[in-house]
Amino acid sequence: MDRPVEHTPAIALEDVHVTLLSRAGPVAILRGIDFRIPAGDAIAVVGPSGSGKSTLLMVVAGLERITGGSVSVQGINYATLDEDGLARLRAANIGIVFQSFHLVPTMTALENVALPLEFLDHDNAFAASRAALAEVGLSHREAHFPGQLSGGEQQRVALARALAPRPALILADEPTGNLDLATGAQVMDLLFDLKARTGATLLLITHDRSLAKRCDRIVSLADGRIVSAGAKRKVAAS
Amino acid sequence: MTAASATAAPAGSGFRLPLAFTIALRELRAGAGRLSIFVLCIALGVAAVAAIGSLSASFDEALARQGRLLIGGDLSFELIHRQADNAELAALEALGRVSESASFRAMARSAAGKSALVEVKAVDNAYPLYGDVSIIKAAHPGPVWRSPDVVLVERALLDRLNLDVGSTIAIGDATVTIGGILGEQPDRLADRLAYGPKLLMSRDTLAHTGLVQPGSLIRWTYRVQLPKARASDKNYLTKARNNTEKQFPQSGFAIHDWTDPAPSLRRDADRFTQFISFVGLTALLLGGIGVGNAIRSYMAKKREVIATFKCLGATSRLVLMVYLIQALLLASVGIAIGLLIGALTPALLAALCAGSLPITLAVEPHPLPLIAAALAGLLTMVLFVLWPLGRATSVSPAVLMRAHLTEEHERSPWPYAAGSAAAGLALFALAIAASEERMITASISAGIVLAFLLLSGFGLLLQRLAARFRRTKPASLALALASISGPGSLARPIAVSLGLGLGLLVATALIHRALVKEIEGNIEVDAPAYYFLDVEDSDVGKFADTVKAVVPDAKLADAPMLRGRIVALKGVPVEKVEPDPDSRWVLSGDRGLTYTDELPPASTLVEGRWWPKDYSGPPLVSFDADVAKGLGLKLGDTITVNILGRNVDAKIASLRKIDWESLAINFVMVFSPNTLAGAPHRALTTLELPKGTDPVLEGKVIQALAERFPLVSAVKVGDIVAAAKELLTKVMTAIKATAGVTLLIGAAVLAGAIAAGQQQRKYLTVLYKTLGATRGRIVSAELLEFGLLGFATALLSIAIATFTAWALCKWAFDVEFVFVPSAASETVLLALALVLAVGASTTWRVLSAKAAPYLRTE
Repeated sequence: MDRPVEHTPAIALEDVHVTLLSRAGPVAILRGIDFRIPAGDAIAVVGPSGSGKSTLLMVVAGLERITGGSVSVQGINYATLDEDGLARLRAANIGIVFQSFHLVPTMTALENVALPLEFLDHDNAFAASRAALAEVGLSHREAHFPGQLSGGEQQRVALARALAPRPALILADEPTGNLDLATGAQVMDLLFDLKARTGATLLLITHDRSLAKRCDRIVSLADGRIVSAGAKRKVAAS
Repeated sequence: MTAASATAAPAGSGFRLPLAFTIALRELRAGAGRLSIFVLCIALGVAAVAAIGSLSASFDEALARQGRLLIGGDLSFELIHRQADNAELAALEALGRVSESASFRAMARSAAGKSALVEVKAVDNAYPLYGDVSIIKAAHPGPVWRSPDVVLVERALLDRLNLDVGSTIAIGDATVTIGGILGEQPDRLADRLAYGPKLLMSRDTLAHTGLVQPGSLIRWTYRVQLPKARASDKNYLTKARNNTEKQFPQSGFAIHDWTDPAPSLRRDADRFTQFISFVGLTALLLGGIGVGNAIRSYMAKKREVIATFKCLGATSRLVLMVYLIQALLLASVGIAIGLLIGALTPALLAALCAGSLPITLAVEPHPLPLIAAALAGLLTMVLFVLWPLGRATSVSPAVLMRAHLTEEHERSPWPYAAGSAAAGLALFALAIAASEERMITASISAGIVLAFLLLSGFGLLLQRLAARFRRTKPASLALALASISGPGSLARPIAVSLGLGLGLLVATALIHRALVKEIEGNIEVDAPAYYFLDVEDSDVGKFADTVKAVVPDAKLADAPMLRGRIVALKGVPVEKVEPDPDSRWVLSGDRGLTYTDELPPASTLVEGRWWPKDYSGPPLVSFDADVAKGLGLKLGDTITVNILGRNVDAKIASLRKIDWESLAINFVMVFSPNTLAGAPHRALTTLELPKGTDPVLEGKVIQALAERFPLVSAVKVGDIVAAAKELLTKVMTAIKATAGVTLLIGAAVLAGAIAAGQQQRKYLTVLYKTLGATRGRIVSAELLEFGLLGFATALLSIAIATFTAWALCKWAFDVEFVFVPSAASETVLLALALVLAVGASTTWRVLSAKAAPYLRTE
């Protein structure tokens, strides 16, 4: 691909439709989403329950197939990739942080962080993982299993796992939803700090307006449509 | 890699095996506790198949290895009614060292007047050529039986006649001294079925008894010890046999060698093993169902982990490899355990049943049956694991965010279904290839699969029935029916896991009772009380007079009797004939023959005509119609029988249907009188005592006959029946034991199925408690659920077993089928006991569940 990197948006959605079949008939979840996110930006997606925020994140992550339009990440059109192709793309380019952490319970913190690097055949997966855990301040917990970690620690491990491959894109789905305020704030500080250091693009799903204001742009969704794209904001340096 | 320079991931190979192995081990590191049922089911199934195969190989090996001991030589040549003549003896002595022995039945009489039938073996000084005669209690050390008029007897005779070592007994015309108690002796498999204790004497002692008379029913055996250099040369053995047969075509020798010392026994053991193998296959398939349940339950718990892997970039193939490796590792453990149990089974059996087995089993492991069992275990694992694995690996990563995506959305891609089917076909192909009767194996294998489908269908039916009646009272019953009809129902697991094992037990019990009832029923109604062998023709009248002097209403019947061996059918030597399995017995060894000018009692002519009185044409024979069919014989065909060293060709003049159950005197072959009347022979006489005859009076009859006719042997029918019943019981016990193993595996499968639904049960119990149900109500509901399912399964098992037993009694055994309620009730109780025991432990666990973990949201 010969497109100059600086002109290639990190995420490009063109007239994206997602319709799911249910017992009650087809349900339109996303209705003609047009969306471009420049590389390095942080975008917050807000909206009421059922507005399609999670579906939007899943579409960008390649976890949900669209029924109309096109999706490209880093210039790669998802329509050209099969399931395994999307998996490989995620491993190399996308880090995902979930509300429920989703750490593998039978693996230690270090092994959880190393997983995407191992999927990429990384030569020094564990060394890189150690470095990632150090970045989130959990070197001393690398041999612990998720069941032995607090909620905040689990989410920090999940963060380290998402960022260890140095992805171009970070997707975070309500990352503080299962954490108390103080811990949540710590985790978000870490997230934005890491994002700044790596230059990754961040797509953040959140109900928390104060969190949303930390992003460059706020996109509001309602009933599967973008109701407000938001102008790029100047965010005060922390 | 930085965000600015990120590119698409390399297309690459998608996975590498070492990573899949690493991840598989990491996952197992947390413990395979939930998969212990997986390992157990594979282990038990493989153990059943390996044990059966090992026992069969062990038995065959023992026969081959102990061949010399079992026949008492490298070769044995047997004649009936007559000794080898000089030319024959010289030919045998040219082969090597020869030992001659005579075997027959006789009456031993004590000084107190008691008598007992004994199995006599009279041997020369060369005996034994191999092995030793063990003497448990001897008057003097050394081979005391070689002393004139000194014998060894088994302890049973001493007990029966109330004697001890040193006592004297009369045999024939001789009075002999008991020189010791006979223990083990070589060539015991060469002996026929024994109706009395064994007695060993020398040839000199035999001469004193006067029992060797023309036509006496004596079996003369010539055991040959080849020179050491030739003894293990199988080609030389074959040559020696063939040369002897060629040199003496009419001798009537029955020849055995150490390579196959007991062909009939080996064939019977093979048939028995074949039957038991079906039970082993059933056990393996049942174990496979348990494996499938366990892996399904395990993979259900792994959905989120699999979705996480895929979110992080794992390909579907990598995920499949991870869990396939886990399944293979655990299957290997199960197979290893099963093989160990199977390999140790001959040693265990030899240790536990040493006294009851006819030979010493070869206890070292036999590779071939173990390899077959391992392969069968692996194929079973693939058959039951591939489908659920395929389904699990098609989990969408969106599962992590969409709670409504349940397992119903996942479909197993068709290659996995094809792979499972291929494994199933390979498994049955293996079973069929390993069998000698392939059509039967194929049919029964199909029957087993049908049985599983039937039981599974029955479980589904129970679910539907429960759904129909779930709105009922009392509340405990309603809860029980709701559980039976709802998701996670135990109806199918209980029906499938227990149905077959229970059915097999019931069928075995019903068939056993039908056979025993048949035997006992015939004896009571019309069977004679005694058979008397070697009655002189001229003594038949005096014999009857002696009996009637004591019991005037006694009935006697007699028939001339010789023994002969069929050597050719329609001019074809019997070695080249392939008879039906059911008729093969007629061609192995010698058979009783008779002649008469009247149709024998308990016989009906079905084809041809009886010869007229005073018939003097070419030899004719009347043949058993059923046996003739099995041998491919028709009216007009010629059979060749060797009698007293002479081949006699006779044409089949008629075919008879014989009522064997009457136990009246009857023979497979009845010749026209002109064929055999001139041959030296004796009479077989039967004695029927009136019903209710006092045993003391019966004893007086036997004593009187023993005193007046010392050369006549009396065989009590009751003793034969007791021996037959004992053998039947042993066989049925072995079958029941394997059925028990199937039930054990079924219980393991059931435990696994219940464990898989444990969390759901706990959740429901917590919910019921929250809504106001008392512990008593919950316990009643649980026990009702298990009780109803156990009872219903027992009923179906009884129905299937009854039908199977009835069909086998009618068409295979030709005996009257009688339904025995106690067999049915024992089954119901066993089913209930099993199910309630497992259910009770489940109930105790679910009642202890705390509410918070189930009701608190994430």
